[in-house]
Amino acid sequence: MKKKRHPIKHRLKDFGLSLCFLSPSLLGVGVFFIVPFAVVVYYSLIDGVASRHFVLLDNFKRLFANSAFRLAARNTLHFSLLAVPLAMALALLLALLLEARIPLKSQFRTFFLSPMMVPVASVVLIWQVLFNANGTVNELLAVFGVRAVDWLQSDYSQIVVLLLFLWKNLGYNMILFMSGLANIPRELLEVADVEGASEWYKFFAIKLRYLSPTVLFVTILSLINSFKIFREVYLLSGAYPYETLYTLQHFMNNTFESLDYQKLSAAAVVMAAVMVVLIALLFKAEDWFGKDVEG
Amino acid sequence: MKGYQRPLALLLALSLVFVLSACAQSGGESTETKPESVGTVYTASLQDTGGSELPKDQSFYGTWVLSDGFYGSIYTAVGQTEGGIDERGEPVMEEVYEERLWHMTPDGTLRELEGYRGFHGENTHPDAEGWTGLSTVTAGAEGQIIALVQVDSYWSEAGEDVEPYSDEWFAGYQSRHDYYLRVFDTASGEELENWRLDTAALPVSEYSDGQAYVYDMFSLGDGRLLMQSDAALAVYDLAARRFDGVLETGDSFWINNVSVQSDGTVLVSYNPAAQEGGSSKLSTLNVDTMTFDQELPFDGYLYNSASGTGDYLFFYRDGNSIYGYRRDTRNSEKLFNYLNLDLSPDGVGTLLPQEDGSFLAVYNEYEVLPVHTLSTYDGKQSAGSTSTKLLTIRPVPASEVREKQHLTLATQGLDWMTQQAVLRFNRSREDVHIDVADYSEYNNEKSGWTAGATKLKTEILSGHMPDILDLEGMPARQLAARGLLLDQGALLDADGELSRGEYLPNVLDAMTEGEVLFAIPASFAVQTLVGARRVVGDTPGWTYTELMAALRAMPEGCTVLSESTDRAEVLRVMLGLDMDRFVDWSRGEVHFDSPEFLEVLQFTRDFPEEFDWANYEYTEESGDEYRISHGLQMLASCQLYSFENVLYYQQLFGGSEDAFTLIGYPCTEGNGAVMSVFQTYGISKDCKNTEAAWDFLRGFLTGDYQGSGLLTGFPVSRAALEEKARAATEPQYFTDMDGNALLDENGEKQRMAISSYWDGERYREIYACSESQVRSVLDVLMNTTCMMDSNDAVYDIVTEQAQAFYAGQKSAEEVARLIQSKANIYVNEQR
Repeated sequence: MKKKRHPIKHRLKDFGLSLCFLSPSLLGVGVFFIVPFAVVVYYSLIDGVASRHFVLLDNFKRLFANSAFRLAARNTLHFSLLAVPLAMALALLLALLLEARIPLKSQFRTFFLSPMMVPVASVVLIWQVLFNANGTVNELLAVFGVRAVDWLQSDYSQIVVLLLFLWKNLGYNMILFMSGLANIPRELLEVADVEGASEWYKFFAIKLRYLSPTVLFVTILSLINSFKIFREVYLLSGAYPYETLYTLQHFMNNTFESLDYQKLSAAAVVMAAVMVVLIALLFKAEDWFGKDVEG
Repeated sequence: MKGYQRPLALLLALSLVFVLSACAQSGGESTETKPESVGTVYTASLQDTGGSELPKDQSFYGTWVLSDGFYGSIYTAVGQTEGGIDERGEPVMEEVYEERLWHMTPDGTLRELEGYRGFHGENTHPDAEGWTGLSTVTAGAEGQIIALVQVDSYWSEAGEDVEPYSDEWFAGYQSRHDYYLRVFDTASGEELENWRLDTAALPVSEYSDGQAYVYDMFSLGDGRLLMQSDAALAVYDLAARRFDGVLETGDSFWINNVSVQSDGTVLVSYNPAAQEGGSSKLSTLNVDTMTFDQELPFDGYLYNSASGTGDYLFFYRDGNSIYGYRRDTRNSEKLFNYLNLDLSPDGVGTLLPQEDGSFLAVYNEYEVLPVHTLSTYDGKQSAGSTSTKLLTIRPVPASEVREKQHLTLATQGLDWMTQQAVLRFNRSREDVHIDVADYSEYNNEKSGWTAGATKLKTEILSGHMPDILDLEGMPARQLAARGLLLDQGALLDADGELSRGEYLPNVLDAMTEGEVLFAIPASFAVQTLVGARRVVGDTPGWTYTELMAALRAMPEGCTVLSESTDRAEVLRVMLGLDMDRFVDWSRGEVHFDSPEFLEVLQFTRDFPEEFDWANYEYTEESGDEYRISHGLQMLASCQLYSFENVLYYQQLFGGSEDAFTLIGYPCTEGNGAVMSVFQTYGISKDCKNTEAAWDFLRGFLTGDYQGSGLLTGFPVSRAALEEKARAATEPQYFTDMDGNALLDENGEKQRMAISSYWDGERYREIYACSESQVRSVLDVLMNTTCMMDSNDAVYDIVTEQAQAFYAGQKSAEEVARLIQSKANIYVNEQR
């Protein structure tokens, strides 16, 4: 007679076994991400490492009243609003171009991917040589009679950093889009061609819908990378760059140096919360936009 | 899943978990301190020496440690000789000293090796004079003692009828140094034999005078010695009396230290690429091939090392702590700290480790004035006497040690006076013990020379604030602003014997952040500028405009300060002086776009970025005295650590006691002077025993300590400062050895000149400060409100941006605008 398997026991056993396999990763994520973040949240709710009295939202109130934080948040938002859509649009455009039959396609692909392999310090060095007050760009402009611009110490500095961001990230985004484009069912596009659909219609009605998961992924990635631009800006301009380049990471880095751990933790919690909300919204948007094409 | 796959996968997952949990194990390269084994602590005990008595007023330091105890040389008075004629025409008798070799056994018995006496080496020249000194001592293979003696001799070939030490005599000057090995019988102390060491086989350093200098000598235990010279390590065969193997080090390859272990292992700490800024290594040396064998991971220099016992390959000293280098893990473990064992670190000689884990050493301690604490110390004072004792440090179960409350004093290097204060406090209290945590022990070539400071700041950040914190090099104001430091003003006000009014209010104000007096320094010094009174006027403090007007009235080509004063120094001082004007911390406003700041930029532009010290050659014309007297320089930088410092400026500005004014740096308000403070210690708000911490710190403020004359700079106590001012106006006199004043031909006490000046015809001596000079210094001291710790972040922002102005790339206004923007961000971050 066949032995009857108890469904709950079986599930529990499977669950336990899964936990065993997951435990190394869970341990790593816990120790290196979850626990530190919990400590950060804790620090954002106390008044100091010495006394450790709970002050609930006082640190957050102090944070929002701080003009340096507001400046940093504004700059970060501004840069992300500029950089992320541009990165996506340009990467998609390049992917579409490279999808078409053009000569030297492979070489173009390598060309756009190569910035990813260059170390940050080298990139920064090149940018400094180009955009220094006495740099190459100003010398070129002088040839055309244009007055020299202090690129990194003026309102143009965000443009310089934006260019750096796009140069560094376009390649990878492009590859992701190319992969997404390759997964669009050919039959649908052929049917559209047969039905006489225009290229615009095909792009918006078919390609873009099928690319919606890729678009979501690239958006999130670009958003994260737009925060990481701190690294290049710090190497270019130090802890206190020009006003428009002062981002949340600068604020957090500097408050760490000055031992203001409560302010730092509160800023980190705020940033994390904003990121969670943003990404949740993006997921929702993708759910709605790509609902027709998902199985 | 197939039958074997599931268990195999489970096994792999478990192995991964175990590997992850073992990830924290450190590699062999790091130097770590490990807490003492649970339940075991080290204790120190002292015992009086036995055997022979040391010569009067002499101490035995046990410089060289062998297995049978400690050896050291003592210069002993053996008679007197005529040293010259005094002003009365009478002969001056001087003591004649000779070097003696002494030995202390591990049980503390002292004796002199009488066979060591009266050695002068072979006759190098009939007229040769010179010096003989014991370099080092080691043990022979058969238990003898082998001493390396250096004999320096000099003479002149100029001829017998030439007056000694005349120019002609020096024209024929010759010198040489020789080394001798002297072998003594350990039991009787009698010399068995001696011979000259032939150093011709040793390479010569290009920086020497053509002869090799032998620094050290170690017994290899097999009839050979390892010798270290200035350009080589070499093996010397005692039987053959010649060098067998040489490892040439040259001048770029530095040997830091050599240590020979009891099992014959030779350890060498060296820097193979010193000239290229390379880092040091530690390796074993194969003495047969004279090559390095095995490199050991080690971050130190092997100073004061001792042969290892038990689990340790060797022991060494770093700062005031002793470490053991483990044989198994190749890591260093901190064993104990001398201060925490209530020992004066300067008084402990080289250790002799014992097999039972204990250590022996020779210990000498000075009794130093003044008495420091109000607690149960017996108050006995002695005038600088020392006593030699045998020190034993042994591990004992923690339960055997009396329970005391431990307070931590964190520092990056304690000055000697504070070390003595810690010792006195700990010896006087039965209930509390101050443990010194010296974070400079974390500094080394590999981790960097600020590793200790970073570690301390990180620990504070993570909530491990020490009970007492040495504020030297720490962001004291930030810590106070975060509420981490106790208000010592409240403690001072509650003190029954000390009161706030006793101390200079400007110094206390400078150490106040908000309402918190976060530290009270024991002493302070002041930096200002000095100028001729006829040029700068007689009132301290002036503006940039006034300075430029005075400069324009000077001869063409006149500079403000000396040629070596660089821009960074001036900028830092001027920023510090006017920081309150440029930054309003309470409102979060900055004013770097103000005309006053533009003046600072203009003023500092004329100073050199840095002075080329590498190619600098001093000439009379480059000194301040010449330049000021010839109208080439208007002002001089002045560091005031004592009232007598101003006498130099009397000399510098023309001789009259009122010839100069302490005018200060140009600033918008104040006297233009900045102060530096010393011995500043903060008490943590969470200090385990505030009463004890205050009891310790208040000792730096008592009348005894403030008036002790051992402070760096001026005392913060008003009474002590006034007493010091009064003493500065009294001349000092020459005295004999018993302290009696010497008299001149008129029967008057002979005054001692403390300075002199050129009056155009001859040098005039100065014997004391005048009343007006003392008053002018006091005026500056009591009215200086600015501290020399201008905010580093603001300073960095200013200097970074100002470079473009100094290089002529941007105007002062453009640079000021940028600084304004960045400083504004910084200041608002701090709110």
